[in-house]
Amino acid sequence: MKYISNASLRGLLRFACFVALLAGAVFTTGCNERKTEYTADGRTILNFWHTYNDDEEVELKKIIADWEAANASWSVRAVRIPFDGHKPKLRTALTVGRGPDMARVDWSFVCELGRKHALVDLAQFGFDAIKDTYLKAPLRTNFIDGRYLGLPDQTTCVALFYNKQLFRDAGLDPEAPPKTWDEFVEMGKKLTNVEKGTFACGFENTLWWSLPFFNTFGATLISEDGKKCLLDQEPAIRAIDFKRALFADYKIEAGAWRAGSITPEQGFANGKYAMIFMGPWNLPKFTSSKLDFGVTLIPAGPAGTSTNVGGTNVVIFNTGKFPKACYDFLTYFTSPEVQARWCSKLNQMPVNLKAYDLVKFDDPHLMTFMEQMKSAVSNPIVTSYERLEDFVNPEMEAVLTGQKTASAAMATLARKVEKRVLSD
Amino acid sequence: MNMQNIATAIPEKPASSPLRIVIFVSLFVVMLALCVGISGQLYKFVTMVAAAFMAGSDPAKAGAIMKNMAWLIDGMVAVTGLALASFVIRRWIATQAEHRAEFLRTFFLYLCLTVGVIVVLFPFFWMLCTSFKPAGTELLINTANPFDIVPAEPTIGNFKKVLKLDAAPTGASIDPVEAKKNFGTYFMNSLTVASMAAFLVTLFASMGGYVFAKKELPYKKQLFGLLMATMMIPGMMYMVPQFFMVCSMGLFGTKLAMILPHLASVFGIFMLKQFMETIPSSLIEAARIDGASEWQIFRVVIIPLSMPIILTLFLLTFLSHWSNFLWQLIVTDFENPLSVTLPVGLALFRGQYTSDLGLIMSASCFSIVPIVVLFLFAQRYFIEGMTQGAVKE
Repeated sequence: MKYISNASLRGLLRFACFVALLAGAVFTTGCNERKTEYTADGRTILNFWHTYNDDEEVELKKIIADWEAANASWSVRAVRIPFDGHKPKLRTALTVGRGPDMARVDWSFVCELGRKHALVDLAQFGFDAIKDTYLKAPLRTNFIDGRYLGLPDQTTCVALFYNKQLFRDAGLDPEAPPKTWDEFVEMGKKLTNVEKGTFACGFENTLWWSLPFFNTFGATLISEDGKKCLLDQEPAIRAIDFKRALFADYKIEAGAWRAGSITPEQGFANGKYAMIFMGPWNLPKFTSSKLDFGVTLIPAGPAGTSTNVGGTNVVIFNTGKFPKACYDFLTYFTSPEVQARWCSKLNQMPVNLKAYDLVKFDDPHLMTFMEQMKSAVSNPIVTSYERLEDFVNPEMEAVLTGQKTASAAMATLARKVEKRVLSD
Repeated sequence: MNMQNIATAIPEKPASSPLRIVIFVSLFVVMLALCVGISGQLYKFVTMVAAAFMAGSDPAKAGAIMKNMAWLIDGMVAVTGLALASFVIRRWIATQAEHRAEFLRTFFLYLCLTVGVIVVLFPFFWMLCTSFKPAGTELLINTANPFDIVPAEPTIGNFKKVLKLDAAPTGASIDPVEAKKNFGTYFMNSLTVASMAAFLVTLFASMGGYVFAKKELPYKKQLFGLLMATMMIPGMMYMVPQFFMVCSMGLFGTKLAMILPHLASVFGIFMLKQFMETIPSSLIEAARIDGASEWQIFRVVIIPLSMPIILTLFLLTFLSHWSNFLWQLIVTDFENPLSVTLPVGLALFRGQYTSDLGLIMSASCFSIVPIVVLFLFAQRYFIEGMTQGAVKE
């Protein structure tokens, strides 16, 4: 057996040193930050990362072209990234200084970006003067620690979808869906037929999908200052206990939240669940499946009807050199006229209240969503919304499966959330 | 010896017991049910594909074609069932009574294997069927027969959309960058990245494995231990530093950025070292006596003998790079379609709340092709490699 000689070892060490020096030189001289770019006609390029789909991207490009026509100094470069990976993509890009000037992000991501000091405060551009033109609940998801760090560009919420044929089969009027939770339970008993495998409803059990319950019972999940979890208060306990009762006491909920069960969407599409919470994104799908369905407001609880908030916001990064130009573009993009054009074309709800009177929809169900949106309550604002879900969801499931009482589970949960989520 | 004694002394030719006949009939019925179920779905699928291509992107027309061809499907199912039934009955009759227990065992085994094959292949079949479903009908279940997953009104629209063949040709000039944003480009990018990575990782790991298995060098064990210790650090930990390095080297948005940080595979070195240790050192010494250089020993002796494990590592590395999402997403420059790979491109079909299931499934049909081809060609080596490295004699 041969051993490597000392001479070879020295050579090896010399080579390793050379490689290390070379790598060091490359890293120190390497350019990590984006330089200002210009188009061939001398316009300054603003990079905008978005997650729109094919149809939305086409419309976005038209809007950009219109804005560029009125703003000769600027050009917006729209770069499409997958929604699925936009958070890690932005996190890593911003870490090494390769982030865009502005981006479209999930509503829950604004808080994290804001608290990591990555975003520009919009107050410096006079946002206070126009903030009231935006829908309150989606706008609230941009209000982080007393500052507006973004503005909504697309919003959504859930409403109650119901199968008209199953209503007829149960002897109910398909044009008179439940308006309150009491009516919901009464009708639910008639709609449930365990032998046929049909249930009155099927619900997800994640926090976001459960927010309509909490909101209609008037529960506030996180205190205004963001330091206290209020899940152990009476309204929240009653909300989760009511959800448990739908499954365990009234037996009108299918247990669609259990692993391996038919999901609410699939159950509704196949006529297994008569009522589900669903957003406007599935309207085309259900319409093309020839399902006879209707959409109505979430049944009213002690606090009336209410819903959650979904969608996305647009933010400006403080690593960019032209935040005012970005702000001008984004406020143009979310202005009433542009929103009306965008929403009419793509069948989406406007984020700008002034666009409500301008927009026209072919689909009547969208008008119900617009009505529902007015009663939406902002989602809990925390640094890591995913972590909040991670803590809340198992406890809610423990209540639904009868392992814990609602009050015991919520009391434990509130302390956990304060310690592990709100302490960030 | 009277006749009665003779009769007891000569063993009677065993006749088929009623129990065996009952078992045979039961298995036969199960076989027929499976045959009707499987062949029914397969023939319907073939008809569905033909109808979808004949009707283009009109699901109603394709559905009408399928309805008109229903008699053909039923006829072919009946013929297949009869052929299989007659084959099994003839084999049963031809089997001698004393071998019928063995026949039943084999029959039962084949039925179990058939069920196993169905369980394994069903998701792929579902994927194929979903890729032909029109938008909005992907989640619909046939209430009469939940196992009938072949769409009644198929379309090839999903495939056209994925391959960007659905856009009507216009006189307007097409942006060359936009034109490259299609599934074909993403597919080729992935193929290049996965193939190059698999080749280079295998090459470097085999060199490393050879040194650790057969060469002597100071602190070899400690060095190997140190290498193994790096496997305990989760990949996420060095994702940002690696991204920083890649950007500093000016490799952001290149295929090299996707490959370079993963070329040093400690797992690969470990795997090959374990295998190469089983190669007799006398072979290497014999080659050296015959005048072979170090490189010749490595190339002519070590590599051919380690081929099963090398191919296994190649396959595993190819698979991991073919399906790698996070790292490829991070280093992708979305302004340049030539840096978008398949997993990242597929993610573009998923939105915040909705997914284009038909598009995802039709794209997935293409994406599994290289994996299937690789496994078909290398499965013998793959299985050999997985087991040979496990035992050290």
